[in-house]
Amino acid sequence: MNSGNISFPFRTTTDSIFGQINWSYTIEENQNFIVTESNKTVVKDWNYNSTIYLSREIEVDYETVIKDCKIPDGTRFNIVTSWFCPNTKTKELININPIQNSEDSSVTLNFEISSEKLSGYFYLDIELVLAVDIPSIDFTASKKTQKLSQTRHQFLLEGNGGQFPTYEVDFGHFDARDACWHLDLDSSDLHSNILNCARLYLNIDKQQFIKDATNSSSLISNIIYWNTAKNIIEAVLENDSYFEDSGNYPENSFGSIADTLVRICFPATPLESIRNLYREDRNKFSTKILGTFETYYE
Amino acid sequence: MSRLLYPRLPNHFAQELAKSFEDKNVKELSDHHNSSHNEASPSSVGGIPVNESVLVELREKVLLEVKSMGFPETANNLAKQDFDYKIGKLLHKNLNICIGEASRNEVWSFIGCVLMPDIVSWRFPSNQKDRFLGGGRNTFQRLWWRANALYDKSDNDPYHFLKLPEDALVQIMERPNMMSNWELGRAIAKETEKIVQNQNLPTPKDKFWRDACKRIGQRGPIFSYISMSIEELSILAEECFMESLNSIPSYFYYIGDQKKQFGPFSLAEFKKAIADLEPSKTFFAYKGMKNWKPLNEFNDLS
Repeated sequence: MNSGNISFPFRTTTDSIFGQINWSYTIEENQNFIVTESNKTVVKDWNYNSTIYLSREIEVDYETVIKDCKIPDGTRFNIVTSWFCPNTKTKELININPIQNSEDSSVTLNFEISSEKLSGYFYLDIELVLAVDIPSIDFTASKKTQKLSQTRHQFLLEGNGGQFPTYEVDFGHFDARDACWHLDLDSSDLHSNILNCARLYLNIDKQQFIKDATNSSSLISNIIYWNTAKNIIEAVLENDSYFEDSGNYPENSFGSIADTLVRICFPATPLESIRNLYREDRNKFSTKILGTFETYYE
Repeated sequence: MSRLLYPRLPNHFAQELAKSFEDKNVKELSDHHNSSHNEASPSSVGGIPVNESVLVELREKVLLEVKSMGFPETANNLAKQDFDYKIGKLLHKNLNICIGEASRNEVWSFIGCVLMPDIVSWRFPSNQKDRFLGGGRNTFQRLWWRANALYDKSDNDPYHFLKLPEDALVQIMERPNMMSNWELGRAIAKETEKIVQNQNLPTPKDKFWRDACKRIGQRGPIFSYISMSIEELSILAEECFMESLNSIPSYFYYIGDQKKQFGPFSLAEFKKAIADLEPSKTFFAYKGMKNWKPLNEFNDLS
């Protein structure tokens, strides 16, 4: 009775029941749709004028739902599709599509989300829910709107969600005219969205550097990633509350990004051991993180 | 009508300004305000950059309101409550900003640190940085978002939910997963309003809406709130608030001239306990009630 991190008090089924076809999207009307490959997609060239057009065919495996959830054949379900943008605190329903048997269990969705409702990133959620109240037997779902399965796809809107906010500024303000970049991290609230806690400033006088730094496949951008990762990990290792809440931070929060970085840079290493390494051998600690990022070319 | 784009003040500069405000008073910050900043500029796409004269006009409108509340003299609690309602309403009516733009902390940093730092300091005299900086605690950002999310078009005053106690509004607004479904937020606000207005309830009342919000949050992973109708969401909110009323121990009773008092009971336990007692010989009270009352005056809240 588990789905992701949630323990359901009734039988549920896996998200594979929604079929194998992925979301497709485009930000230009009447253009070819791009098919997504994983459950996280970067939307390139998005800006505040870009309406995003989305499409997906969902074909629910009705028989499996009935079998896994131990619900009577003929029960009516709803496929509920919605989107959620945490930055704009907006969640909207796209479609509710009823299904009652295996012959009538598919839906084709075509819709758009206006740019003014989005910022940074958003999720597309599909849920399979009970459409009516039914008698409960042996830990089965029984109430209308109870979820039997769900799946989520994240879209990162490049220039906003794909990376930290980046500014080109006069480095005279930092009293460091020759420095190339400055990372501003605020780790005071590890539950805050990382986009609100991190800012990358690039020296406006160093245009070639800016060009390289904003090219995600360049060596210099990897060095910036390393530096950023190191700073984030160091910030949480200095924060006792991180040790209490690690693993439980909201998605995309400073804490959850730190969790991910720690897992990538120090796989299968207990947090205490990482903190000891950080305190006792700062150089080795730094080098271990460096080894995770591609900061050289063969 | 095209939406307006406001100047965005990068965090680094906003931090510097907010830090420099720490030891300044309202008068000093009034001298410090401006309608532009060298490092602040609007996004290059997505709407029309706001004209400086619009910013000046906005400041004047806000000033007019706060002066009627006693600005720049020290604000009392009543004036602060008044501020939250009236300025929330004013910002929501006048900013003409889309939610994408309103989600940018840099926009609110500009308003808090550059355009109206004196008004921030009047509302929050301790001059804490986060009241100037963009973020959930920014003086103006929190009010605009409350007004936007809790706007109740079915009421003569669509902004009436802004009059709810601060703690209740925080409970509603600071649960983004739940509140992003604005219909649900309004359903919770409506139930909270009933609690606030009900004179026959134990006090303090904040425990009821806190408990109810937790209950609604706990059901979230199991039920699809987004697929519920407004009526279904209202029933859900009502049920959770009723469960809270029924479960928090706040009621007491004593019988006749016995000195022993029984309780505290939750409302549900209390009703069960008094079921067989003689109403004219039993007296009851709940937390916050000054005097015992005969049981036949008990008002069954359910």
